Amino acid sequence: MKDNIVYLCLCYINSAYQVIVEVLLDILIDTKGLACPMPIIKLKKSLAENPELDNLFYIESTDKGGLQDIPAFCQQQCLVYELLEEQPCIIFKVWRST
Amino acid sequence: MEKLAEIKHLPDQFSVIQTKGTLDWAYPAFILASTAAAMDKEVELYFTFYGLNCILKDSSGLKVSPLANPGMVVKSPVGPEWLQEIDWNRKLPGLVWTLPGASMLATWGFKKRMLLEGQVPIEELRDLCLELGVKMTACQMSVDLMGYKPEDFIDGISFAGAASYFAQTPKTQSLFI
Repeated sequence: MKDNIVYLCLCYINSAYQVIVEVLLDILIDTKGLACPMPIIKLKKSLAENPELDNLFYIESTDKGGLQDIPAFCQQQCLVYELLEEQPCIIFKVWRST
Repeated sequence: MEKLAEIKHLPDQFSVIQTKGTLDWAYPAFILASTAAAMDKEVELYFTFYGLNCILKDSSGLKVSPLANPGMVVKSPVGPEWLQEIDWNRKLPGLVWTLPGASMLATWGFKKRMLLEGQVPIEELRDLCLELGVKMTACQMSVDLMGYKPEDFIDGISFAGAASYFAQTPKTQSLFI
């Protein structure tokens, strides 16, 4: 009985830890209202500040050129990207390829 | 073939020679330089003649004028929509831009429009360039010619002549702005 409670507690702590780690690894880059080249520069800075391989970058942008620019930047930097949303603002998910 | 192989082994480089000292000429150089630096290119900006204006601590000398600048679009950044759509550079005779204060008004409108469109002020953009590792060099001859002092310039730039610029910049690419 006691062991079970300890086990449950440990499981709980572990899952809470996982959630915190995931939250910490997700990085939101808000570039809404900024034009070229700021979204790319902010993404680059964020990449440099967060060198973890598991980091997920969510970049929000209202720059129309970003629809082509962010993929071009990612391809050149060997990053993987996914377009999540186009309206009302562009959201790309970017992560490092392993 | 040998030459091609040589080009392939060179690091990705980008270099701009900046000779113009107006706000509308300063923006493209810094925008392109910061983007190239963010994409891991080695970027070199060389400022000569009036281009030195772009790297002065006091950036108030960076202005824009529609005078003798027929390509410039002069639209009001404020007012009702119909007013904002008028391109005054096409509507008004060039003589208007010789009036006192025309350049000041155009500079104010240009800065306001740039901020509205999501650009950052020029001082911030050039600081970003330095932060991203863009190498900036002021032409020593021009500095002497214009009578500037080294302390007039922003920190983080170097001074050199044309020969040192060509010695360290790419053999294959050089864009002249």
